[in-house]
Amino acid sequence: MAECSCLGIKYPIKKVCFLIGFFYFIFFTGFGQDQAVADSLEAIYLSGKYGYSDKLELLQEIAVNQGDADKKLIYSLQLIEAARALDSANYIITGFLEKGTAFRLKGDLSKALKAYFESANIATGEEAKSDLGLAKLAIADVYSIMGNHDNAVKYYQNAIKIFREVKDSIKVATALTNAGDDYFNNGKLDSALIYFGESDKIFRKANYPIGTAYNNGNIGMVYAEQGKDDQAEVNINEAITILEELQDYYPISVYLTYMSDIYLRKNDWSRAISYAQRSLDLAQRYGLKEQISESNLKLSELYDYVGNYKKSNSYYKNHIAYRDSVTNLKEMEQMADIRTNFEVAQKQSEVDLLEKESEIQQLKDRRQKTIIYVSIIVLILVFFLAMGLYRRNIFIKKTKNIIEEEKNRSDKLLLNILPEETALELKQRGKVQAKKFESVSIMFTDFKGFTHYADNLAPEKLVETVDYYFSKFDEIIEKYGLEKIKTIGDAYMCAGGLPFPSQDHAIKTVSAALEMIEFVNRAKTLNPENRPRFDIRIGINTGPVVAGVVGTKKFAYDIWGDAVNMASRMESNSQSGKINVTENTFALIKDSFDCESRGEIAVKNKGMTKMYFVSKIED
Amino acid sequence: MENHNIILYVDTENITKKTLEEHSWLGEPRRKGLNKDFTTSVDPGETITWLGLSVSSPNDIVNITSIKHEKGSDLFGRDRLNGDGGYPEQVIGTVKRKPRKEESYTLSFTVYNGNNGGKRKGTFKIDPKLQPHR
Repeated sequence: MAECSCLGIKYPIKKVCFLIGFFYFIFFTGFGQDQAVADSLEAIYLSGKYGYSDKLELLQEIAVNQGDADKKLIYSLQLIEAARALDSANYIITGFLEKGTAFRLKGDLSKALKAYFESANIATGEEAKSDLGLAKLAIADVYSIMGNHDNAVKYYQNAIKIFREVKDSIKVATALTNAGDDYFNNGKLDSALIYFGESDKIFRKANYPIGTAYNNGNIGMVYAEQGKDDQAEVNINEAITILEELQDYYPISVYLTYMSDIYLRKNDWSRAISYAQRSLDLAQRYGLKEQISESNLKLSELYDYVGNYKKSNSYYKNHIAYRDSVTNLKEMEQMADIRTNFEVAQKQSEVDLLEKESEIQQLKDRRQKTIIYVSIIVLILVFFLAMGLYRRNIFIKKTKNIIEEEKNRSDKLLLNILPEETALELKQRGKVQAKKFESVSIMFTDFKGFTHYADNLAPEKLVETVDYYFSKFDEIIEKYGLEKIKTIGDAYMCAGGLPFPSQDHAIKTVSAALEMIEFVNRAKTLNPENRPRFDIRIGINTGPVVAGVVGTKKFAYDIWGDAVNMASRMESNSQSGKINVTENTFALIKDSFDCESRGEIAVKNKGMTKMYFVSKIED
Repeated sequence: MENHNIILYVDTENITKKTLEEHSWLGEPRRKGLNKDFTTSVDPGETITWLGLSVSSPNDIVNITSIKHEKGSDLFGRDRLNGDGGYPEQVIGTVKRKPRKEESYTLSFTVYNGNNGGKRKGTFKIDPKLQPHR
């Protein structure tokens, strides 16, 4: 608490802030606290003779106008209860505000603060700005009473800001006055004068005499503190005059104490004591607890100064008793808790909001992340799928190629085994129809002395040797369009005129036979590796045969018929390096080849048969 | 979470035990209906304050002296809640569990003449109800 040093004694600056509570109350309710109004309305309420719809308004008016703290409390509680039943937030807000005021009047500041904060909370929830401003102003006043300057200033600033926003000039002026008081209480006189001055302008403009009265009194107190006693006395006296007319005693009690100070500084002890005593009487008469404490202190100081220690001590004890009832430590702690809870609740709301926003953001982020992850997974899956398809495609392609190659190989092999037409028929129908050919030339070859060699030659060498000849034979018959039928040991069998019947099959067969003999002879002369060499004999017959495929495994295209047997007999009756043909064949080739008749020769199971050696191609 | 203030209005000048219902009203002065049908909806954790007010003589005192739950101790933690000894006296209780459909309790009050401090016609009892929030 700030101190003022006057005439060698130190005493605390007067707690003028006590007047503030009454002051703001008067203005924010829109009309003065009027006990007569309260009493008449209470009578109506208690009689039960009022309309149902008037109940809340009636209770509110009683609570607002009621000067008796206990009754004010009961009616504010009743207002809260009834408003809750009707879910009327505005009346609940007012109910808590009046409840707070009732407790403040009873000197129970912690409960007052709790009720005011409750009012502020509901007003915040309802976005009732003006009500919120009133609650904040009331809270600021309680802090000011408690001497908590920092909190008081903070809440005054809040209230002023809100009232400016809602353009309520009277409430702005009220809050400015109360804030000015708080600055004054804390020795910040210049700030106090600025606030009072601004408030005074607004009140005068609005023609609010009580506002003008308070500002007169307050400015007077500032002057008093600054030692400008004459100006102070004028201002305070003007204020007291107006307030007496308005029967507003609390501030009068405060101002009287100030007048006492002024006369103390003027060394007019008796008038100083007189003012202080008037202040105390007034405070006691109207039960103004805080002011009773302050007036007692003032009287204690005055009697101490004049040397009446007994009286001084007595007043001082009273001062302590009342002061402690207002500012005991427990209450301060409770109020701190209430404020903390309120601020924590407000902060919590902000935090909740931020958390919600954060949660929404997190959800968005999470969703975005999920989308990204899902997209990545889908892309990976698509990639793998594409890869799989690509590889599968390659695999199919490769497999297809392999199958194609295998098929080609198989076809080739099949063609090696079977005539093309027959192979095609076998592939398409799974079997081959035996077919008769009216004229086919069949050729058999045989190596002379092969059996002798076969016994003495290594098998690999033997096969190699046979392969040497037969490979060339294959080449030759392909050249002439003959069909290889089979080989049996060293015997090689082929035919012309099948599977496609032709006119010149005998000529082609004989031509091939001549080329084979030529090859065999040449092989004998050109033998650099000194391989085994043979002589060959060939037999050819022409006649009808039946051709077909037999078996289900290791297919073999074969021909049957007497003509085949005769061809074989021709080979066995042939000679080394000779082509022995039947008359049938001779008849077909005689114009193309020089032939030598051998006459009729006995053939096993055939009797005498005409045979011819084909010597060369006729020029 | 709500805290409730149940106010008993009493015509202190005229109340007698026989005319109890005609001269005392819970919740609202001269409310129609019986006090035993006056029901308050509460939830666990909520605080109820019962207090009284005279409708006939502003100086008369209505003291709420006790609240007794008839069905045991679990609703308020005790089966009987006593007044706070204040002037006027009131009873404050915290609901410990959710009431069943409707649970009766007995409210006892006394009336004093505000002018001479004399007790008027003994102790009165009424039986309102508590029910859970709907």
